[in-house]
Amino acid sequence: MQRRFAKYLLPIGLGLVAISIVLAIPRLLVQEHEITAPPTLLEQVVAENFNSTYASHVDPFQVMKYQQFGQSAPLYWVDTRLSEANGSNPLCGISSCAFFAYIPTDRSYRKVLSLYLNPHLPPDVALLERMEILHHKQPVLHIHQLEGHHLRQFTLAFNGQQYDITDSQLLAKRYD
Amino acid sequence: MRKIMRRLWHRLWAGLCAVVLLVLASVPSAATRLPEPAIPTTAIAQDNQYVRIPDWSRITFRSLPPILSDGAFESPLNINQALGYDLSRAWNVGQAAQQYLKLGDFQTNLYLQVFNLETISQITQLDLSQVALGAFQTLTWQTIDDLVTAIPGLSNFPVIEVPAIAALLSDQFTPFAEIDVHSTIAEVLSEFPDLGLRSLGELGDTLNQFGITSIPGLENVPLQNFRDWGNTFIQDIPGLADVPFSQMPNPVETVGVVGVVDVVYGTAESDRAKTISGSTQAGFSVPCQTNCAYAELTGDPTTHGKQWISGQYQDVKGGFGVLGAVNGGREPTGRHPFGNPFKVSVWDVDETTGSFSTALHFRICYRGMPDLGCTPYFLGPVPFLHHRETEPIFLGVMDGVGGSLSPLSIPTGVVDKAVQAGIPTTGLPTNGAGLGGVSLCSNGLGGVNFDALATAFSRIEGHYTSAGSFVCDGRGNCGRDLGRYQYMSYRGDVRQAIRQQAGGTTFLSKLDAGTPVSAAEIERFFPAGVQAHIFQADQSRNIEQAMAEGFSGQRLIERVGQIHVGGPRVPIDGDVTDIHEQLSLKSYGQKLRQQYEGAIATHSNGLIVNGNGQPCIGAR
Repeated sequence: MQRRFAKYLLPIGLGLVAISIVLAIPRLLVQEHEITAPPTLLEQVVAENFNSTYASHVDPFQVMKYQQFGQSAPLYWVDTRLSEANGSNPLCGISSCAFFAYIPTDRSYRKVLSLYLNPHLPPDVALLERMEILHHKQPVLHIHQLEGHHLRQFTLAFNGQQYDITDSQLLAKRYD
Repeated sequence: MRKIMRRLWHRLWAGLCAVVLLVLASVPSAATRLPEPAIPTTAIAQDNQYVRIPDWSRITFRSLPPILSDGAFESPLNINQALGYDLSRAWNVGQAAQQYLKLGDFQTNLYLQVFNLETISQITQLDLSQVALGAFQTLTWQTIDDLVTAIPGLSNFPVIEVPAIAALLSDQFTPFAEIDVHSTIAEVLSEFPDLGLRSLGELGDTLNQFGITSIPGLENVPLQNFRDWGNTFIQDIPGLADVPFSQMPNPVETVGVVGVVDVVYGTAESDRAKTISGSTQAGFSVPCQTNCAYAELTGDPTTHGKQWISGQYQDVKGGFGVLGAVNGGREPTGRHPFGNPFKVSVWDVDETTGSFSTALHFRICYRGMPDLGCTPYFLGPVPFLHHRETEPIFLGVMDGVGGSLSPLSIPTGVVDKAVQAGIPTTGLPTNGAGLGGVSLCSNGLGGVNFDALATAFSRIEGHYTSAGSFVCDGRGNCGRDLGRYQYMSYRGDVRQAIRQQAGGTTFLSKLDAGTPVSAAEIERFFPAGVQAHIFQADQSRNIEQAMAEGFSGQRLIERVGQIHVGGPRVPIDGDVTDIHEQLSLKSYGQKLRQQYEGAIATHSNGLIVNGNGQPCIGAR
């Protein structure tokens, strides 16, 4: 009896391992979550993008880390709005805020995108949409902005040095 | 015999005199050819002479003489669509002023919108309980939502206690909704939101079955609380046509200098340059080349030898804003001795009798948001006082604005009346300045001219007058951008300003819920003056920071622009761009400085506008 079942143990075990690997693949392929930014990244963001008088005040920003299978290095998306803004955000003007993207290098981080974007969008629309397509081993990005009552979708791709706008389309749907 | 002859001679002489008197009496005088209308007058003493002036305590819209000409203004379709109603107007010979003039025409001078029905009824001794709802025509285009917004607390009343609304929600008019009339209006609207869009006008003649006082609180709220109040004819506000001009929220006053009519000249005259007539746009010393009928004045050095040209024969540039182009942008030459509600022109001139008549002209305005400005003064002529040679004549203030006393700020009296009427000070439409609103026509910190700065921003960002799409910022803040400076409705200072308006809390709820809002609502709850106040506070902070960073002069403007668009901690001359990659922070600052300099140059021509879209130079 035991022998009869023993011959199935190996295939069952292999099957379980395979299933667990398959289940784990999405996590390995796509990693997208808010992180506590590495202190060195925060310091660099402040040093490079803020007025020098601000250097001594390092407040927590929202930083998203994007990592997927085939990507050469994680992409850090920096939303400069403070997590707990009691008043104005340091890099938000009358209608837009500064957003940056960094990728790590050997010793520090390289800024690959810096833009002022209007974060005000219809409730069901995300400012940033990361695509699974890679270009120069970094994800292609979609950024949405309102133009009048319509959305414009910008496509940005990594060119090996930085992100460039490769396409933009005004979408038909109207938002009132 | 001698006695008989003498008696006969006396009789002959008396008869001759009588005949001469009869003949003299039958000669047509200027007075009969130019009959003066029945305008109540009074006299004031100045420099030992009595001057006949209009008695504004006895003059009302209704008592003004009928208009002498037909006319019409056809509003373009795109304007009507933007406003939500037809701005067109037509008037006929013989009509009374209250029949062709609207509340909006006097928004920035008489401030009729500050009145409520109760105040009007007290002035005119009108028993509101005897006035049908239909007589208050503004109501006919108010929806139930509008009424609930306009009249604080109304939504808490059970439907059955507001008969007009109960009728509108009855089976006769709303057959498919099962309404419990004992529920409050708020409860019903919560259950059937679409019913809020039903307008009282749907009741038709049934509206006249109810009195003004049948809607609780209706008589106590200022007229400006009602949607599109400016589109109401004067005659359609019960009692308003009978309110004396001296008791308006901003009364017509008689302050200024007096001249003496020296000689009256006919149209044969030409090339007259020492004039005191013209328009706000052209100035009040517009020369006349041909057909220069006029009255020459004498008196003190300010009036001696001056010529008031007849507006019947000379027109001048008038009006401003989009509506400024109406009537070819022209209006009769004249003055504003009694302010801006109307213009006074010398009209018919009679050299033989040394007399002349004057006439009034009115204009059409749509101020606020969108601010379409005003037409030239061309609704007229309305006959007014007559004057003769050697007679003193009131000219108003000789101040370069034609005697107009209209200040840039809201008169204190208007504010007091507004407070009495329960209008928050921020709810007053401003004439460039005022409580809750500010004039941008001034220099602030660092010598920065705020109106030039606002104009410079507008030239880069575009002109906005209404609400943007309903949006969220990804951090839980949702709302719409509002008005000229696109301030988000979730901003604390914006919300505070709106909340101070009557019905403002309800309006905020609409904004928060993403319910569409109209330009008229924005005008009512977030008036241009309040927007200007927030703009000035914002820019003062930016200027203060830039100055603290050591900037001044042109570079100060550049840095202010960088902070405005990039935030308070933006690096100096940063290179981050917008997504269109058209402007970096540095180039935005440079462009702002250029536009600012252009606006300052325009300012010297009087073309710069303040927060209300009004020119800063020249009274309105």
